Amino acid sequence: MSDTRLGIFLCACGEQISSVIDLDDVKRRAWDLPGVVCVQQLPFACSPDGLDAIRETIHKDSLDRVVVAGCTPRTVAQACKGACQAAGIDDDLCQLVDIREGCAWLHRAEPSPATHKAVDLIRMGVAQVSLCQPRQRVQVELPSRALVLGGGLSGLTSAAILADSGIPVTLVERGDSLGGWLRQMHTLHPSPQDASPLLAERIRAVREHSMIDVLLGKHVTAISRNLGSYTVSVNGSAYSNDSVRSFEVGAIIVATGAEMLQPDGLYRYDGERVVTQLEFERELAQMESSEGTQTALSHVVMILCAGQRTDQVPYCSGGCCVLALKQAVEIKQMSPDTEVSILFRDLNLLGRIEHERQLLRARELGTKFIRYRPGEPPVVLEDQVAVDDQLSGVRQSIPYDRIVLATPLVPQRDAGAVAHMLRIVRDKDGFFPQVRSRLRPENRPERGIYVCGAAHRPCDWLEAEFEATVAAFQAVRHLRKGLVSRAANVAAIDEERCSGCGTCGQHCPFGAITMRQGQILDVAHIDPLLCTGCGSCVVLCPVKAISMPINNDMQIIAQVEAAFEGRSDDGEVRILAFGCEWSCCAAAELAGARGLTYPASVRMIVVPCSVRIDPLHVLWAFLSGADGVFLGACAPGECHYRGGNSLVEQRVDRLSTLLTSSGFDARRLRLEWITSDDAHDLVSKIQRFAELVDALGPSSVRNERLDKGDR
Amino acid sequence: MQITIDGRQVEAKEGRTVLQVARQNGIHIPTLCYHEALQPFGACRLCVVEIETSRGRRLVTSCTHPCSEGLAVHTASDAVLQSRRITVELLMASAEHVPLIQQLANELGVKEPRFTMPENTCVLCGLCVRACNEIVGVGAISVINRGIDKEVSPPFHIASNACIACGTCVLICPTGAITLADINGGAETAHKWDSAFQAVSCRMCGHHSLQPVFADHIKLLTVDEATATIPAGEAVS
Repeated sequence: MSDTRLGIFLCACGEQISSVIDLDDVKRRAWDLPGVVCVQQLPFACSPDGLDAIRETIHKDSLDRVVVAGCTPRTVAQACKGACQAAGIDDDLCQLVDIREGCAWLHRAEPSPATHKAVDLIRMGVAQVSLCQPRQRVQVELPSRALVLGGGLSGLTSAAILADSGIPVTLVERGDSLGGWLRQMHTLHPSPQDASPLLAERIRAVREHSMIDVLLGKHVTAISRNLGSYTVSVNGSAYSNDSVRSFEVGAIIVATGAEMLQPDGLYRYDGERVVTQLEFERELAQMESSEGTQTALSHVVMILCAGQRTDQVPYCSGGCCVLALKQAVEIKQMSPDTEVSILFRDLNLLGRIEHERQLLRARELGTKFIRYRPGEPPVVLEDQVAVDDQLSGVRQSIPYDRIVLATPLVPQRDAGAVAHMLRIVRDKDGFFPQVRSRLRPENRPERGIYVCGAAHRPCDWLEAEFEATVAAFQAVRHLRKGLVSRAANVAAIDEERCSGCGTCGQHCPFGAITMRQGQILDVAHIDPLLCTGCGSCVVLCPVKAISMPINNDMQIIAQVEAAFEGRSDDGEVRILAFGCEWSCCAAAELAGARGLTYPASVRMIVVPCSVRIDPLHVLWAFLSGADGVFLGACAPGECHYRGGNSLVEQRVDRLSTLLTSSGFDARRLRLEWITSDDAHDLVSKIQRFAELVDALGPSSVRNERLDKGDR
Repeated sequence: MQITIDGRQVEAKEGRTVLQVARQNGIHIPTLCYHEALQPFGACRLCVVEIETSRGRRLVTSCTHPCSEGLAVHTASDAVLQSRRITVELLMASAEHVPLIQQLANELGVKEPRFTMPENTCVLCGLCVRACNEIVGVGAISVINRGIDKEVSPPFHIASNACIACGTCVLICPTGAITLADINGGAETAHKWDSAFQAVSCRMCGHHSLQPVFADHIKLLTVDEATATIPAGEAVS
């Protein structure tokens, strides 16, 4: 490119670099590189004075691309790219070349090969940055509206907070009334306080708020994701197409809650004599309104852990023990003559002192507690319950006229559909899991989706309220940003070339690729907000319709060629390494910092992930005269891009077969798993490979080219 | 502005520290906790220099001391060298085996340290913690405890969820004291997709999840048996 004005800054790093590498020689040879209009040596490129000097030179020589050769980009990239940006050069057009950790420190004992290597590395950097285009910054305006799914306490709380913060809210509730669970609770256990005033207050706040739009009896039928926003379709019923309403939101609060397991066929459940806790709660409310005088019940038996902590529902629902205690106390207070027995496996009092007090209160009032073994649940007979008392070992028969079953809260029946629409992976119990970004990032909902309340797992009203508040404020913070922008190295599809095979979409580890209708056929479309720039699709695409602004094929191939361009036929073997920046490159830098060394004949090309290495690059390297190609990848299961490296092994296997069948020694290609903090391991692996390649000598391809007089 | 370093008149820009100006002019001041890409920290005290003030000479850390017009700095006076020697001796007390410390001791002519402490490769320079905060921006590790118990660790000694396993701390550590396993728990390295991670949801605050290690400490308070094991991701297509 003749019209580029490229400046090279060489950092001496005090004497750290200049004591090994002959920077004057490097400077002389750097002038010969294409497009270079300025080469400047600085004592410390990353110091404030050095950065000032870079800025001044950019202005003075009106540079449009910059290469800074100094220490590792891992630590100083921000500073150098920041300086370039301040001087008006896009930070993508500033390339950092590591000649300290990756060269001077690695080859302290061999100044001459180190100088050669530094020149080669700078040439590779120049080759790449000359072909770089500033990546498109994806910037999307967030619609200032939030969707709250569910009109229970969580939904009401978060809707009110969002609206109070000035964000219009649409609250969708599929039932015909607001209030959810709390409607059916007659007190706010553990406190004896009546639930209805709190609920009425919350509903009134939402109803009367001018910024909240409440849709009752409606279903969300589809949520389609656009860039940074969601288009929500709401319908009168889930199955009809009448009166579909669509609107755009920037954030979604999932407060869909949970439902109570219907204990059909369990403990002779009939809804009359054997009831669930909720049904009993209603009964209690009626009793209380009739002043509790005519309680006809003489024997109430509560069975805890009914239908939970079993194979089907393995978890503890958490709130039912407490609810049982509350009901026991209430009924005892209304009619002290009623016999109340609680059959339990364990009492889970949630670690709260007020629940412990409730337990003491229930005991004082004469409630009987009988513990049964997990494998021997109580048996409900016609008019009595038989249970083995674990404490006394005696089988007891308790007469009853009401049995209350503590059934668990389970995920909503349509939780699967919601998860599918929002692309949230559910945990094994079917709830929406907690966010845990490092270990299970695939469980993490996207920015803009916040889950709260019982949709996570069973919880009581205090927890629900707390989570709803947290979720609402997270959403407010997200929406207040107004814009979401991504500057990642995002892949893009050339729609004219795309043949619509869909291979990329099938293999994208982030689900960023969807097929969309094109002019003639369906073509792939990449969502730039989801793409992480691993480069897997670029390699997979059979027609090479996908490209990336940085590390695209042209740039990598230019680097491959530049790596060997300056080498005379010195008889030394030439090894090209492709290193994943997270493992292989990190380990190589660390090797330099720890004073280790490997042969100076190795040149390394940095790729974002080993999945970006195309067999084409490897073949090109052999054709350009490499005697060996070393691929350094993260060990399986440790990929930073969701296991992209598993594909590498397959590719290398196939490529090796191909090389062997065409008469080329496949031992010249080696894939190794590298750990980022084990420099010794990397060094020994490279050394062993270099020894092997040394023994094999120059490759047949290179010899052929030499015979033809070509390089 | 003009300042004088070891009798040499040098030009200094507004806002530069003494160390930056000295380095720019090729004057060597040893450092341990200083890194160009990070905010100065003043922890290691190796970069001490003597400045002349109206009330006599004073030792300051050159990495944090700003230049002012007419400042006179001595980088290798007796007081400075004496201070550095004691610093190195103290460093040697626990980290004599570290090559970098040995090199500093040779430079300053320190033979045997007069102090002994249990061997510890970490010299608490804080580079890893600051790199994690300032360069990577995740803050997975911090300096915890005080006095001789001070150490670098993820919060509560529990494998950090914030760590992205970039290895910057490992690279920047001058003594080689930190590994990724220290931060993310070793057995379960970062991004181990098929690992089953056990967590007990906290019933006290209802919001956070705890690792079982931590849950033990509050067993007396919680009666929760429900440990949720999240299975390897069931993919939603």
